Amino acid sequence: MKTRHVRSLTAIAVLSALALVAAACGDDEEAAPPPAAPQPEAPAPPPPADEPPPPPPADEPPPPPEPADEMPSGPPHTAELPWGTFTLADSIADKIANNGEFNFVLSIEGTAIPIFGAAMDEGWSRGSGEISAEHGVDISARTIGPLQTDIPAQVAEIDSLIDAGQIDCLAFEAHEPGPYVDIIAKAVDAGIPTFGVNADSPDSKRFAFFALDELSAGTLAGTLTGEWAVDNGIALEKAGLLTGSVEGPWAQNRMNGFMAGISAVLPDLEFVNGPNTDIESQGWDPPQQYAASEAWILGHPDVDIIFHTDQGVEFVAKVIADQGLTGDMYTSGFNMNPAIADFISDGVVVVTMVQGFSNQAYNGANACGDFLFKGEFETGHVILDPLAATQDNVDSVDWSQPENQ
Amino acid sequence: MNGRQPDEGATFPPDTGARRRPAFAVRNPRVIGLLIAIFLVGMSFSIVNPNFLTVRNMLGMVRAMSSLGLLALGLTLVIIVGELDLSIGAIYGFTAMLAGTVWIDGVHVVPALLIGLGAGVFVGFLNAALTTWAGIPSFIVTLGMLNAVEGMTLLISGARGINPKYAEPPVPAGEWDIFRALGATKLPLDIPVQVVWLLGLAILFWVLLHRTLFGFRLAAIGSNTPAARAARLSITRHKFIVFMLGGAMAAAAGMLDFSFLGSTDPSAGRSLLFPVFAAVIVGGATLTGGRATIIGTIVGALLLSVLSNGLSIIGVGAFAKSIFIGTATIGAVMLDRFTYRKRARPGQAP
Amino acid sequence: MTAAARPESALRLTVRDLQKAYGHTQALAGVTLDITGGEFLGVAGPNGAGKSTLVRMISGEEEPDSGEMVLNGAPWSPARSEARVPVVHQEAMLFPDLTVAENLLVGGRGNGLARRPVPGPAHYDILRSLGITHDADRELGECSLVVRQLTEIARALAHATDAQIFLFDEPNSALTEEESAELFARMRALSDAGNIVILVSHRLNELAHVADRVIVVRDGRVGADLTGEALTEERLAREMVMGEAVQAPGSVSRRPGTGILQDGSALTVRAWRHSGGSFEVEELAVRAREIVAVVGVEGSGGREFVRSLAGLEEATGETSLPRRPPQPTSYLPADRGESLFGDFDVGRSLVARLGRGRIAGAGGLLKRRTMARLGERYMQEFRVRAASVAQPIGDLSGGNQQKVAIASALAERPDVLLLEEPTRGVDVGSKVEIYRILRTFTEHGGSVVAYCTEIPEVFELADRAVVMARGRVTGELNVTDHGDIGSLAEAVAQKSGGAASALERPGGVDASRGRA
Repeated sequence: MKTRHVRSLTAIAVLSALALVAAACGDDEEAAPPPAAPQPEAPAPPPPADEPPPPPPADEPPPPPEPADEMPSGPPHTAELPWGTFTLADSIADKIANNGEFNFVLSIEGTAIPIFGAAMDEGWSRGSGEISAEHGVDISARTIGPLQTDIPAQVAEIDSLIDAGQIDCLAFEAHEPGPYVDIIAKAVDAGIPTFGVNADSPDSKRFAFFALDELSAGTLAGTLTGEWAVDNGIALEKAGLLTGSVEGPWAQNRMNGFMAGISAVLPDLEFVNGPNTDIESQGWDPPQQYAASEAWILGHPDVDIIFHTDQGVEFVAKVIADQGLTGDMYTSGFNMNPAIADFISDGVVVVTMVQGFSNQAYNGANACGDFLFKGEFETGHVILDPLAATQDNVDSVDWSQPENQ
Repeated sequence: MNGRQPDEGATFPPDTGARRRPAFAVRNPRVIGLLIAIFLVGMSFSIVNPNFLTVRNMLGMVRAMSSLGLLALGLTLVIIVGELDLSIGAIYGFTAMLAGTVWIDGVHVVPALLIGLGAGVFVGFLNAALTTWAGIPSFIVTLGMLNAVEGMTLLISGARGINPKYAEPPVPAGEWDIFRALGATKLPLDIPVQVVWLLGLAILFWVLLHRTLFGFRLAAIGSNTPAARAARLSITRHKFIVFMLGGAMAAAAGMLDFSFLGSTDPSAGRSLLFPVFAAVIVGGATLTGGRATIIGTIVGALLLSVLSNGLSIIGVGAFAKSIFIGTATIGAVMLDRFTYRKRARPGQAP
Repeated sequence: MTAAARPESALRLTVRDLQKAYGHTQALAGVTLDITGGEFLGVAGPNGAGKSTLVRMISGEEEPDSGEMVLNGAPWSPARSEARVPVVHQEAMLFPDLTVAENLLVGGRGNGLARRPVPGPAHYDILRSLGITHDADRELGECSLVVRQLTEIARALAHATDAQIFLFDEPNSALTEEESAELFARMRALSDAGNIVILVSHRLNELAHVADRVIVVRDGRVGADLTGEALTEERLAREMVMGEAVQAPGSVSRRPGTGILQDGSALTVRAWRHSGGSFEVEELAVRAREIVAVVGVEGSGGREFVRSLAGLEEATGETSLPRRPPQPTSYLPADRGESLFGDFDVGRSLVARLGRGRIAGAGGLLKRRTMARLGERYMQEFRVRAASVAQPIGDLSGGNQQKVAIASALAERPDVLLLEEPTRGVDVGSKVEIYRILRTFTEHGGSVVAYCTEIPEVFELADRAVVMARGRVTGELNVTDHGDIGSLAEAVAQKSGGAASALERPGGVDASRGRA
């Protein structure tokens, strides 16, 4: 018995030491790519979009200002929402009146999910920083969430922060619509303004939801790909679909949109598979994605255009290049990184839709500021158009910066 | 050693060779069975899609199998000595990320890769130290290590993928070429260099396990640790070496895939753990130790790769792939139960 | 089959020609036995003779290969029968994470879906009768060995309502005399109530006093069946000992003890103390070409002493042994499950202990041809009966396995071979060969130290016997001074300070401390 304890203690000690070493290393390494970029400077153009993000066209006129009896000053602290009246928590109203420090909290699906974790954190911090400067208030901006997708953990974390009074404005990313309804009701009922970003829970009591529209983004990708083929005189005959996750509604929408968009331009194009037939989930482990794409491409040599629903387009393009199929096979997809940008320049990738994760979070932070300090707000799905990156515009943006992703 | 009895007694019967050693098929029914299974599976795939059985696809498949194979080689040694290593997938991702990060920070690519390799060996060292010195079961040690190492990967990467070519500032072109040459070179006949790595290391491990005293003793220790202790075999030292080799192989696999793709990601290697165990088990290793062969492991990895590749071509989906791999693993072990007669272990009637 | 309405005379258990083999080891070679209700049957026999196997057959824990059991005139298979046969085991088979009282519930009738059962008054009554109520609600794992043993007994008693046959497999090996006496009273009460009570024990005096009838199991058979006048401790001791002797004439060439006359010793220890307190040996010098038997019962410290010479138990003191390898000794545990590598074939097993220079050359590469040749050679030299060196070791008979184990240890070319119970569970023919192998080894200059528990083995094997009791050497004797096993047994018993059966019992309470 005794020895067993000694052994466990030894183990704990060693593991702790390891963790300390890791922490020490981590600090050093992290210095290189700062997750929270400073204020955007000139070189980085503001939120990439064909048009600037829609100005807040308040669907409804601002609510009639309530006679704020006990609140001496400040913006209106209530909001008429489709489900009823929202009333700001007294504690938050006090902070507005007394210039306290605000906690802006963004809860995302997975802080360690490479494609959006860092980008959304960047946009959230940047937006909060601008609000802070504009209104002369202290804002502590935090991005929280489990490492990997874990809905109960994500909900529990929000719950405990609400209970602790640590949220003055909340933005969330929902992995699925349903499980978030209750926790958002709790937040809103507690008087915390709450917004959705990137992935929605439409039945919840949130104010507005900032994201692209997956179906129309997919359609745009399809249209642009078709037009590119027509413009360049390339005869596309067979198309195929690949995805990281077949079952994701976003992926389904993108695939359906792409098929509709490209078929409108090229009605004779034949798809060898469909959003629900003969298609596998490749996941997001790069070597596995490459291997799966390679096998599929080699098994379908007659396909000349492949649509990938996400960043896996990088590995589709890489297989095409590695197999010497450049010029015979093309691909379009979603998301962006410097490698994908190069494949666009090389003519392997036709078009990729840059979602603007950073921009979505940035809009969420601005919505928080607009409501708390100006009393302005939006409701419903505020559509942020993605940027379509093609050979025409790909060189104009530095894709290594998180704010551009 | 006082040399009381000479080894080379002239009075003993000459080598009677053939009678003693049964045919390969008899000694390795599992390998033969797997080869038949691979053949049947391959045939089925090529009926569904004739492009399955092309030289290009076969080369691509074997290349994609190389990292699985390297991890499985390392794990085979760990398993034959009677231990488990669940941290290899995490080491695979961690070492690639570490080497890449250090390289981007300005270290030359060669020492950067050596740092990655060293980190893999070091994690193996920790696994061994906690297993042998602290006496914690390796399942627990390496399960904990899996999480600790994954956490470190996230920490050093800031949860973002890296691509040294596009880093700020980008890595020197000369170093980039060295780096890519390791894993992305195409040899004559379009043979990917990763295939050669796999083949070379498989031969090395085959010699190590089946032709050296070290491998002979690994089998003895895994077969019966108390007996190995009674025979004064250095159990601790052997376990250190296999865990460190396992870490080194995971690091090598991770960095070669990194080199091949040119980029890596904090999630790299997460999905590898089960297939690696499946390959080793399907290849005939027993988790209790003592029994495993390199050829079995390689053929096991090949079966999984054929399944994975074929299912990707058909596009039946990751779920079906999971079901197939899981079924193949259980099926192979179940087949054993039917084909091998139950073998008595030494010991006496209680 | 209820306990209440059971006429005493009706209960009758007949065992006919029961056989059971484990691999190639014949544990039961045909046991035939007739037991009636109300009888208190004792079972004696040397280690590995088949006592425990017999118990497991009757309790239904295992099924025999052949033979039958008849209960009250009807064929009976305890493994499938509804009526349970409670067993109190030598090593408590209990659940350390449950409380003492909860342990009594395990195996009781119940519905798996019902709520967790709670011990009732009846269970506490049983615990009270055994004097362990104060521990009833403690987790068993925290309790002392005695309480654990008593719990095992209590568990058997708790199931007594529907049982007719009770088996006790050395239930009191950890108990004091008073505790044992109380236990025997409980057992006697069970037999008086018309049940069959079977007690397996090493303590011959207890068997002689407590049981109505004692059978001696030898080599898987009933070697003697003693009742009434014939049932004495001395007779039991003789039956056990005589039956075990290797009586093959001229099997082992005896020679006068040479040890004392030789100069130089192969191994010496002085003031040699076990770190765990199991033994303290003033001095032992093993001479070249000598076979020393360390004789003692389980718990005498003899086994630990031999293991300490192999470096497997920690001990301090003066020794001629080097601190680091290479060691001049080879060691072989008693249990072949701990001495052989189950995944190896015969050839590899024979050379498994060899190292660089013998089976591997530069760079650690195996010399496979040498390995094959050595395997063939040792197989012949040690007369291992196997189809070929490629036969899996597990397929061999116990005797041949043991020959392989000894051969693999001797292949290391030690100066001193350290063994525990070199012929445990080995057939008579192999015993002869093993003794000859060891004798040949000493003729070539080697020495042997063997921990022995059986006098016939000491008689056949050793030049000198070092008797140990309670951690100390209590005497030494020259085996060749004794012409027969009986006189040797007598002498050993005297040296260990007990009666003739001292070897089979862990030292009497008072008289065991004879000469130091």
